[in-house]
Formats: sequence, C-alpha cells, structure tokens
Amino acid sequence: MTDDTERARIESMVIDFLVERFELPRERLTAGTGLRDLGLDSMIMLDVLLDVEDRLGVKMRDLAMPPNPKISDITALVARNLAAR
Amino acid sequence: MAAPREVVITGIGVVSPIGIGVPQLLAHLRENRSGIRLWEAPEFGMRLPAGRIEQDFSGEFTKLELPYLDRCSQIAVLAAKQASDDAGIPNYQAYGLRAGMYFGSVGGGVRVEHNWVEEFHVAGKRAAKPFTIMACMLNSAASQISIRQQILGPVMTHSSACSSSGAAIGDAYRAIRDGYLDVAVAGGAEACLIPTFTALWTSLRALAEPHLLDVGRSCCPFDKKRSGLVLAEGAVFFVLEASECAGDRSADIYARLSGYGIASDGYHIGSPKAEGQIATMRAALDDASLGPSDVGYVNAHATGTPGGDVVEARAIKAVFGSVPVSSTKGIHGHLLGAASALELAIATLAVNRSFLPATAHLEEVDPACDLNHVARIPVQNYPIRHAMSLSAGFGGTNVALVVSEDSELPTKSGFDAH
Repeated sequence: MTDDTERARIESMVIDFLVERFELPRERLTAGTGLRDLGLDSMIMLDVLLDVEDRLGVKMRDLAMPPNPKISDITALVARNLAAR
Repeated sequence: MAAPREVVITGIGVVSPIGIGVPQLLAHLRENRSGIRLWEAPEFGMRLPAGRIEQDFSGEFTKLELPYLDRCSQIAVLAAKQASDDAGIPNYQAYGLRAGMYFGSVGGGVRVEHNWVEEFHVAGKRAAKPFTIMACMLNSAASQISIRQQILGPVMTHSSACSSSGAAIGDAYRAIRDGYLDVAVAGGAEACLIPTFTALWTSLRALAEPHLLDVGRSCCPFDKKRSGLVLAEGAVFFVLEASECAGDRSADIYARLSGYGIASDGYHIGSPKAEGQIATMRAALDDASLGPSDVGYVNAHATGTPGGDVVEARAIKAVFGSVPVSSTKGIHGHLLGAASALELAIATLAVNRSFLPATAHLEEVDPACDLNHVARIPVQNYPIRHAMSLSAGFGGTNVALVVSEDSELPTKSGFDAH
C-alpha cells in the first residue's frame, strides 16, 4: 500500500469516527478542518486518540500534535505511529 | 464600611420532581400534587419511592458537551439558565468580577464517578476517559454555569450535606449585601438517584417504604405513621441582586432576601441537635432585624424521619411558638444538596403569591411534633410578609434564610396559572 493510500484510509477512518461519535456534519470535515473549530478541545482530542488506538489495536507512543491541530495532523500522527511499529 | 445593601430575588429557575419552571412548581404547591413516584431497580432488589424527574435532559446538549456533563451538571445548567432568563440577564460578562456563582451539592457528578468505579473494578479498566474527572468533580456544575454564562467573579462550591445550597445562597447574599458583588447566581443541584448512592442510605433505615395504595403519599413529615425520607433529585437557582442594581435596570422581583443564619451543632455526625437549629433560626432573625412574631410562615427541613422531625419541631417551637409551619418534602422528597434552594423558592413563592404551602399527607400529627401545622391543604390568599426556610445537614451544619416582601421594587406576577 502506498503512503498516500494509507493516509487516505486513515483520514477516512478518522472522519467516520468523528461523524459517528459526535454527530458532526460530514461535509465540514476535511483534511484542513481545525479541530477546535469543530468544538473538540484537548481532552476530547486525547480521548479520540485513545479510541483510535483501540480501533487499530496499537499503542501510540507519540501523541505530539501542533497547537490548533487539523484533521490532517491526526492522520499524520496515526500514520507516524503505525510506521514506527 | 459602607452601609449594608438590600438583596432582592430577580430570577428563579427550577428543575424538580414537582415542576420544571416556576409556574409548574407553583401549580404543584397550590394543589399539593406529589411528584414522588415508584423507582424500581429489580437487578439490585430496589423498590423505593423517589422524587424522580422522569425526563432525560441529555438531548439539550451536543455530543461534544455531554462527556463533561453528569446529569447533575445538566439540570444545574438548565435551571441556572432558566433563572438568568427570568431575571433578564442571560450573560454576566458586563458585571466582570462583580458577578458570582454559588453552588451547593452533596453528590455532584456521582453518577459518572460510580460508573467509572464499576469500569475499574468490574471491567478491569485502568485509565478513565480524560474528561471523567471534569464531569464528576464537585464544582463541575458551578464551573459549567460560569463558563456558559460568563460569571467571572467568585465561582464557589459549598458542601454541607442537606444545607449545602442554603449555605451557598447565604454566602452569595452576604457578598452582595456587603458590597463585594452586584449580582450572583446561587442554588444547588443533586442527581444521585442511582443504586450505589441509594444503597448508602439503606442501612441507615432512614428511607421511607412505598405507600401501599399511593406511592405519592410515601413521605409524611410530622405524621405519626412517618417511616423515613424519600430521596429526590433536582436543581434550583436564584438570581440575587443588589436592590439598587435591580432598580437601575427596572427589574421585577419575587421578594427580598432579608436574612441568613448559619450555625453548627458540634454534636454528632448523623444526629441533629435542637440547640444548633435554634441558634441558626435566631441568627437569621437577627440578621433580618426581625422578631419571631414577624414571621408568617416557616418551611421546615422535616424529612419524615422518626427522630429528625421531633428534634426540629422542638427547635421551631422554642424560637417561634405557634408560627404556621409546613414541610413540603411530602410532595417533592429530599433533594439533599438542592433541598435548601427548592424550599427557599417555595418560601419565596409563598410570600410573593400570598399562600401557605401545606405538609402533604399529615393526617395524625405526632404529639412529639406539636406545632401550628399547615396540614394537607394549602391556605390560599394568606398574606405573608416574612417567611423562613430552615435546613439541617448531616455533620450538623444548619442554615436558615428569610425572605420578605418588598415595597420598593415592582413585584413579579403573571406566572401563576390560577
């Protein structure tokens, strides 16, 4: 699987998850959407990452994200941790 | 030191077993309609009368908000908003540090906390959700209200068992009276009707049995056949304001909050003492510059336990002699940390709408509780200039609050269905 395909798969999973869990409108969720703009604070974000861990069955050691992260930053974080396995 | 300022009630918000909002509360009181229902949790062998609000409030919040909101915070946020809208102050930002939030509760986010304990012990989880502590900490509801309504001065949480919200309201009143604040949202919330919390009470043998024919009649304060208290849930908040501030914005008022007394028994962790309650009521009268004969109605704490009601009756008699007394817990049960707030709202409406609320189901007065009871039927068209609400908590902290009619500012009306 190419890196781009893998990233697209992860991004789609993250977006599905956010829509399902918080009933967010899917059309608002793109790679460039800021999580704070969606109403997700740092604690909810942390919980989202823990749920992503459960879903993928991996323990993410690297949880570093930039300030005001975007959906693309979660995708990158997950991809980074999967690559480091 | 500047002269003490008068404190008035410009808003009331109610989410209770006897009504959501002031008009519903008033209708229940006027008709003495019970909000006590049967609560069954067969998997835990529980079948109890309870003051339950049969409504799920989670639909009022988004899924991003809900992780932070125990049911206690949900009903607190809704009741505080109701009170603020009633007062005409939906947002307090313009008051800066001169707006305060005073909150009382016993259990706070106990439902979330106990669920987590179960996950830890039964499901073997070793890390809670990141927001769990934010949802179950005792000051969670107070903080949620402060954040949502931009209350930027003191945001305080009081916990003195069944007098918690009374102490919160009393301290808010003092802060305004003494010039530290111009406005405060004050009250309490409790949402502890879960099996693990209820089971804390079972062994005390303090809970009432369900009435065989009508569960709504299970709580009988001052009656010979009383068998105990009925746990209940709810949230009640007031907007308290300096009279001059309410006048400046031409606000209508329910009544004036005119006195606050707080005193402790220093006696026993779970048994009340009349002397502490007497000192509390006298302190509140002194604070309001009133004598016992000035008070036209006392809303008693009386929970319907065999021992507690007798002690309180002795205390009320020692202070007042023959003042009209009722315990409205017969129809709403015991809201614990929100009890004082609900009962002060009832005393306020009694003054504002000129009626005496009754002790429901009081058919045969226990001779040891001999008082001037307003038994079974509320007395309509009964002007009351000053009313007192008394609360007594486990641990021995007692609170009395006095509400008085006010001739200076226009009185709220138009909320009475009758």
